[in-house]
Amino acid sequence: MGVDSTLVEALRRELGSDGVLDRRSQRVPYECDGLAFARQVPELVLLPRDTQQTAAAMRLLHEARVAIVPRGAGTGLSGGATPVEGGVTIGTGRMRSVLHIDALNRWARVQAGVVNADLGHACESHGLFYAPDPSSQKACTVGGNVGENSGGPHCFRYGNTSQHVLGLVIVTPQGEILDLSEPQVDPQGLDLVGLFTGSEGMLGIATEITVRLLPVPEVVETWVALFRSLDAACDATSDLIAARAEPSAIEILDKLTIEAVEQSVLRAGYPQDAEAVMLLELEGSEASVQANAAVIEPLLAVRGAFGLRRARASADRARLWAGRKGAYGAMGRIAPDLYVCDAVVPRRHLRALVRRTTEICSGKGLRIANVFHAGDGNLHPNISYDRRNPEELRRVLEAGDEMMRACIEAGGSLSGEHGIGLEKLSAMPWMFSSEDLAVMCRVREAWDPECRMNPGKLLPIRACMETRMRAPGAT
Amino acid sequence: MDNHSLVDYAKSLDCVHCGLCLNSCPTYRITGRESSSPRGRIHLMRSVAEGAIEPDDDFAEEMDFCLLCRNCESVCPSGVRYGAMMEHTRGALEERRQRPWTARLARSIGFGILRDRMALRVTARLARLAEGTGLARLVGAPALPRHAERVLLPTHMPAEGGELARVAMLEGCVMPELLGHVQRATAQVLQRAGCTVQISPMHVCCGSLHAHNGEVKAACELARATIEAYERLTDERGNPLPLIINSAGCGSHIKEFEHLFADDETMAVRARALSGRSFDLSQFLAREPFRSRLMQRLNPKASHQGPYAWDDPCHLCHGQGVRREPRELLQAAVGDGLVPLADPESCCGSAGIYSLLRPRDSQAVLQPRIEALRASGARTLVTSNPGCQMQWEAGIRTAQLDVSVSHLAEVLERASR
Amino acid sequence: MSTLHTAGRERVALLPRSAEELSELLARCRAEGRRVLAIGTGCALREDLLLQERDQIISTERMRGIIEYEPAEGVVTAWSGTRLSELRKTVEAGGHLLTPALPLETERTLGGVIAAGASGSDRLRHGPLRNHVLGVRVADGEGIITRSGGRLVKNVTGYDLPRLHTGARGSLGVIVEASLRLFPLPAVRNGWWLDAQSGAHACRVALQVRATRAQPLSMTALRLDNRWQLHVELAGHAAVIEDEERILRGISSSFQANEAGRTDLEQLMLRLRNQHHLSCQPARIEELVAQLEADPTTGDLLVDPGIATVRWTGARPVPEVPPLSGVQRALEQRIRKAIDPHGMFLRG
Ligand SMILES: Cc1cc2nc3c(=O)[nH]c(=O)nc-3n(C[C@H](O)[C@H](O)[C@H](O)COP(=O)(O)OP(=O)(O)OC[C@H]3O[C@@H](n4cnc5c(N)ncnc54)[C@H](O)[C@@H]3O)c2cc1C
Ligand SMILES: Cc1cc2nc3c(=O)[nH]c(=O)nc-3n(C[C@H](O)[C@H](O)[C@H](O)COP(=O)(O)OP(=O)(O)OC[C@H]3O[C@@H](n4cnc5c(N)ncnc54)[C@H](O)[C@@H]3O)c2cc1C
Ligand code: SF4
Ligand code: SF4
Repeated sequence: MGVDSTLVEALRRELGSDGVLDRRSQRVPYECDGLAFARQVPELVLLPRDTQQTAAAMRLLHEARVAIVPRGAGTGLSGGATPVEGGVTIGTGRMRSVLHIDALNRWARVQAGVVNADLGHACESHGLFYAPDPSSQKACTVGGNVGENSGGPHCFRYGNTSQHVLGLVIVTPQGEILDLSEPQVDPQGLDLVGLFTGSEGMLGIATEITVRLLPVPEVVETWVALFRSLDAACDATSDLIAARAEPSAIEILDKLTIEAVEQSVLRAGYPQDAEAVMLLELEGSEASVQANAAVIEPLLAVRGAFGLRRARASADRARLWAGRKGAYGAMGRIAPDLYVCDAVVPRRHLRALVRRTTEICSGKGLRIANVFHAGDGNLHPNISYDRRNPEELRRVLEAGDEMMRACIEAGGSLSGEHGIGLEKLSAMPWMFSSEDLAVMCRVREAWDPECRMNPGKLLPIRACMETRMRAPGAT
Repeated sequence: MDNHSLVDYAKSLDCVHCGLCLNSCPTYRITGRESSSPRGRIHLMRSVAEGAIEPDDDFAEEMDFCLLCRNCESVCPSGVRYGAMMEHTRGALEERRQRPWTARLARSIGFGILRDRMALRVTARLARLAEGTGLARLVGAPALPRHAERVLLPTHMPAEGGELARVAMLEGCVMPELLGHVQRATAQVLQRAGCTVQISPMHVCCGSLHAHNGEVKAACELARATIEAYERLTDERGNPLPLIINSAGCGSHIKEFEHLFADDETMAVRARALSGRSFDLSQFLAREPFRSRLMQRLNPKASHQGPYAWDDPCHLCHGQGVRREPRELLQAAVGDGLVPLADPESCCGSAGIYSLLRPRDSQAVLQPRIEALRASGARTLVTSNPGCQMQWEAGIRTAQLDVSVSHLAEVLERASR
Repeated sequence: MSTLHTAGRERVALLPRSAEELSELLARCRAEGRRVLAIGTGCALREDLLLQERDQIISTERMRGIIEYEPAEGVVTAWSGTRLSELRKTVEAGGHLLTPALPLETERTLGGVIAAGASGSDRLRHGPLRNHVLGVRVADGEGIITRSGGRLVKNVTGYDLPRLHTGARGSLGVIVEASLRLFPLPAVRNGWWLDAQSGAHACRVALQVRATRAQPLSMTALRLDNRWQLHVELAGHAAVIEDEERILRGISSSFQANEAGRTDLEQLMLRLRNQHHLSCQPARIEELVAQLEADPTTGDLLVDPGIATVRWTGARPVPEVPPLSGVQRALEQRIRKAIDPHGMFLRG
């Protein structure tokens, strides 16, 4: 079986002709996501408009035994939305409606393709906001955020996406509709919503998402502090954590990033003579912002912070943040391609590991820029390269591996928010034993016995094979 | 011809595939299709250049579908020069395109007309005739204004209340035919701001529509003629006059003339000089001493029907990066009557002659903007590009909204009487 | 070994002292074809739990102690039998607040609390427990111990299995160790209360507080001996507390400082444990409480208005929850089978 004209016709009947893209020039742009070097042109791209259409399409694909890759905006950086050979990509690009906002009970229900920032705008007038704020929020979808359990600067205070998802409507790999959309205080039965969040599109497709909204704080203050060295900025972060200071975000940008940002349309007015910029946000009542400021300011001073600026007006704050949010793209001025690593380290080892990553890259003759969620210990070394140069790409990947190993040896993790996808597949065994992985494989197979959903991502094939052999009845 | 030359490959490498531009793109928002997004189109161009796909009809269709609104450029942190890339590809495609002879003839007549004042006038008359028979409605063309409005301006209009400066004003090709009153208002506002206004008797069209639609050769010729025409308008000391432009599309094009002369350094220098002294009307009026002079005359009470909403023309905000000035002027002219319009920097679907070439897509792009207008509660929509003005008028009529559309110059003119 | 009373019968529980011992016991149970009930101290088992003769109870009571606590990190990792009280003492000394706050913490084990998915009243500020379980190690029916999550505040590597174990009541395996996210220990902490005319009134006041900038640690309305009270716990920087006190008094002048601490509350919570409980949308809580208090058979009432949860004693039953959909039920069964292929673990 697989994708043939009968299947395409049947899909057209369900989704309409605009919902089924089979022409090559329409499929090629889907061949990669933000991890641009991993590529595979999908056999077909489907763009359902709602849950029913998604379910109808998934039933047909189930009968035809075709592999499926869910895709939001394709901003993922770990290859989660990279198509698989012979497979079909199902995009949420036409599921863009905010379905309901319950301002009193503080939740909203959206279609999976709603862009994170659009959800924010939709609840603004109610005095509410949606906390997870990936730097890609102007483009990435809430469905993609669920897929990756995405974070963002403010997740230091508010936690990743998973803490904000109250319910889901999921279409299973068999095309059944699993409606868990009613917001509940505690899950009834197993926490399937929690399990699905961060499962990288391997358990089904979320078509509707119920999210928790929070009241907009009375005061929000953004700080920019400058440091004479990246070490000092890292140390200041560790100090803040150790002192239990409570900003809502702690971000660091190094010199190379600052330069790139200042040359881009997102100029934030970061002074270019600093070696590192720290962005902090304080929020809450006037009293709590003041109290926090009193704790934080001297801690920064100890590490030699200078040029402290504070902004409260939303336009000024937005400008300071714009530079951070566009930093990745701005780095694109330096070389045609960018590789962003995403690893977590214990926050007390921040300085040592930021150093280590820099050493690894310079040892391989690579240019690295650091722009990261320091408060969570979430590093993002950005390596610029040119994917047309295979030798350079090889060095980039080697550097990526070495950096991940270093982080894991220090008690860290492979990913804080971008997910494993294709990119870190081979590193999974560094962090988990084959038994650990086998449990994950079995859980996946409980949803998708044929492993047709986003195959070849997150779980190394070997681990899955071992599971099969260990499965009851198999022995 | 090899496919590589279809694409400005070097520029395409600036794109890091981050996708941050997706949601700003009107054609992506209505279709949800990656191939109809800025990143998708760049990806297609790159794929053509690298030989991964053929530049077939599907490819050309995606290139044509783009509005060239350049919203994507405004949000791209990598500084991708999308507009220039697209003009390059469209030009190259047009060169090798096998259009049926009827379509070729229609295009050459259409783009030819724009260059010829007489032909423009005749066409406008014919179009009006067609409108009388309901034909124009059928093909979705915008309504043409009353005959009386189609007047050319005198070539010399003295400043009021003492001359602060002399300026050249771009009269344009379609503007005098379709929106003569806007041209008069523009000249009057400039006069009231202390400027003596000169019109070039020899200049007709800057060629922006040609460039956007792949007619590169014609675009170059027109650019050369434009540069020459305005080099001749000088002050007593022989310095060329600043050029004031009230059409965002023309302004953005003229400011980027340089791109057209990549192989001709002397012309490029002259193009740069013209760009350096070209201003959008709002940009110029926001500068001293003209600003103060105009402000003295503004009376927020006289004017159109409030509340007002400002719609940023794409070629003003994305093309020229002008955002603050028109808002400030409008605010001064109408006081607190200004209400916010959702997504003001999003394209209305006019996009030069796009609305004529692809009426259905153009309507689909306009639709959410009409809803935003409805939600804003405005009674007068203010913009500053002739195409946008006509596009909005047609959409408002269809949606049966009680909103009138004005050029910024008209509002300033009324408020400064 | 120790003994335990369930469903009126005395049962013997095995008490492994280490993960290795636990693995051995489990492997033996598996070989003998026995089902296993994992417990902590067994103080909060389901009342309708039915054990068969051959079922084996395994308690983690003796697997206790802190494995890692770095005050500079904000995460604590401990063996599952560690008492909540011990955890709290350790992390408070390091300047951290442990959530959930539960009554009788000397009796509660980390594993039991996680397995019960029990969030405390401080959930109002800090959110439900499932947000804070960063990682677990769990023993399966063959005694094999696997890990998911980690000891980091931010980590998305692999499926989020800790969330599956949180609230599974031991039905997916025995939790061996777990890591919890911690919060800054507030400089000042104090309680306020007011006498309310009715439950609905108490809820109304609480929802008013919720609509201000104040962020109490907890808010609890309770009816004890036919008197309604609303308790509000404040915690944070001194200046913030002062501000929040002003807000409370602005809402009602009858708010007063609670010198006596939370003893009433603890008593009531204990009495209401395992009683009827029901959650709803916050905007509906007032109505729900009004219905309950109007019912003459209702005894004690305990309400978390901010979390929209009510507990009560009395005849009024919990409205029937709609059964899980067929799709959900089937999926759950497959997941249980995936994690506990031999169906060895009982839901305690
Ligand atoms: C400039 C830039 C900055 C970034 N900053 C951050 C950041 O600060 N924090 C952060 O966490 N990430 C960040 N990212 C990564 C990326 O934006 C996030 O992972 C985002 O959540 C992906 O959303 P998307 O809509 O693009 O999803 P995609 O990339 O399309 O998909 C992501 C994964 O989710 C799956 N998926 C998508 N939709 C669904 C669905 N409806 N149901 C089930 N599975 C689905 C896909 O199969 C894939 O595995 C950044 C990326 C860029 C380019
Ligand atoms: C006032 C009050 C209200 C409560 N309300 C609720 C409520 O609404 N919902 C609720 O679920 N609980 C509720 N509880 C229960 C309580 O919070 C926890 O169950 C208790 O704290 C755990 O205590 P324990 O260590 O003795 O566990 P036990 O009582 O021994 O066990 C509790 C549950 O956890 C399982 N378990 C114990 N240890 C492990 C382990 N190591 N690995 C795997 N599973 C294990 C048991 O099988 C059992 O299902 C309430 C308690 C009180 C006092
Ligand atoms: S925002 Fe710029 S760099 Fe990013 S995908 Fe779009 S064009 Fe490319
Ligand atoms: S120019 Fe406008 S329509 Fe074209 S790709 Fe950019 S945003 Fe989209």
